[in-house]
Amino acid sequence: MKRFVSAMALTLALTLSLTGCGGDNSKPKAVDLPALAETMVSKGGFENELLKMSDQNVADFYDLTQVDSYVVYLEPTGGSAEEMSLFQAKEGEGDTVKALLEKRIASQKEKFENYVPGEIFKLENAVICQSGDLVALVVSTDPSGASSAFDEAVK
Amino acid sequence: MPKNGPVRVSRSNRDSFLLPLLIILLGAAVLAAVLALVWQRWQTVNDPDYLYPPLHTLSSSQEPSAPPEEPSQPQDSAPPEESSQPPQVVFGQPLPENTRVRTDYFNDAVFIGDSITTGLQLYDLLPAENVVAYTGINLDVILTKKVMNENTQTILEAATERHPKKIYIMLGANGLAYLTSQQTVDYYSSFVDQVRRENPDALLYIQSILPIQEELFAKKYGGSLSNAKIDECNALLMKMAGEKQMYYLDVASAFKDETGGLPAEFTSDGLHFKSDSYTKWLDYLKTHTVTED
Repeated sequence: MKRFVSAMALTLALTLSLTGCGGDNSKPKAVDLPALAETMVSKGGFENELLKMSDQNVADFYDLTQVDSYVVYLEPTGGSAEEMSLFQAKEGEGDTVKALLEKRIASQKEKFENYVPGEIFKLENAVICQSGDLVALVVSTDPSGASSAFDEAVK
Repeated sequence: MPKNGPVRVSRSNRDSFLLPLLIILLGAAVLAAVLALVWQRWQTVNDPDYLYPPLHTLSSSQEPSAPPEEPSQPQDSAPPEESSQPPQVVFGQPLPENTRVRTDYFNDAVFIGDSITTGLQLYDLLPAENVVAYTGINLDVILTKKVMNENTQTILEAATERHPKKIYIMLGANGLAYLTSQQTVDYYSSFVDQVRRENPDALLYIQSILPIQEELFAKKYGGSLSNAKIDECNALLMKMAGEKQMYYLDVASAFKDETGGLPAEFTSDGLHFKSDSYTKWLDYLKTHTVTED
């Protein structure tokens, strides 16, 4: 029973952490994607300098079938899992994109767990923000500033 | 008695004089031409490069260079003239510097590697289709672990699918923290054998493992790797490349400071490269190429 309660608590905590920001999902507000991305990067609690990825690179990392527009920043040296990705999904596809981001977190965990285990806590504390079809992923030491910026932008 | 008047010269007599002359001249011209051709052919056949053309020649995608100038007055400050002959390749030695090629030399290449190689793509120095790299990949699992294309392909499968004409490999840094140099090279050997089997017509470049900045590395990753061990492994790697008639690129030499380590300005964590380092790396590759006949 104890184990069951622990597992439930862990699942709940994980669910809350992955949806740690965002507001009313049904009424997305039009936002300036590049400007919001820049703000989220500057307030994202990143240890490393992130680099804005080219279209070709983003297409290599993400399935963009259900995405209208995007801005993706990554730590480019390969030694860190830090990332700030912001997607405007096609209408009604916000949850599809959110699922992509959850998959991305799992894939990055697999990549880093035996390579730079010190990065795993960032992936475990990763935040997925969603407001309707606007979805963001923040992987950093302290993503709270970025998620607040997201909330502020969609308010 | 002859009649008075101008002396007539028979026309038929003049023709009979000119015709043999013309034939002789024509014959002489034909003979001269034949002799010239024979002499030229003899010269060509006696040129050692004609009988034994160099095995390794420069790429056709070399950057255009100015036509050779007539030798002028020798000047101390003048740069050394480039030899018209490509430097000879000795297997088991680092590939010598050669004429610089353009970036399009890499259009039909794939770069196989780990997180360090991913930077070539992330920094947009090479397009994604030319980079088949995975953060954290180790030599002991590279042939079996499916890490590419949503975990459906191994690195080699993904690389081979692109039908590369050139394959650049840089691996080993990750595993060297827990494998011996010999174990690393043994895994490397199995991997490159398989790469060659799957890509028999591709040029294979083995790149040395890059040096680290030991202090920063120890701070971030622990002290399980040293430049001394990297050097030891690279020496074995170069020997292996020589035995397999593969080209060994001593990229590490371009990054070593006077202590043999990676200068701190090139890295933030002691292992991974900043953007300027990638430019330097690519620059080294552009000046160390071969094209097999």
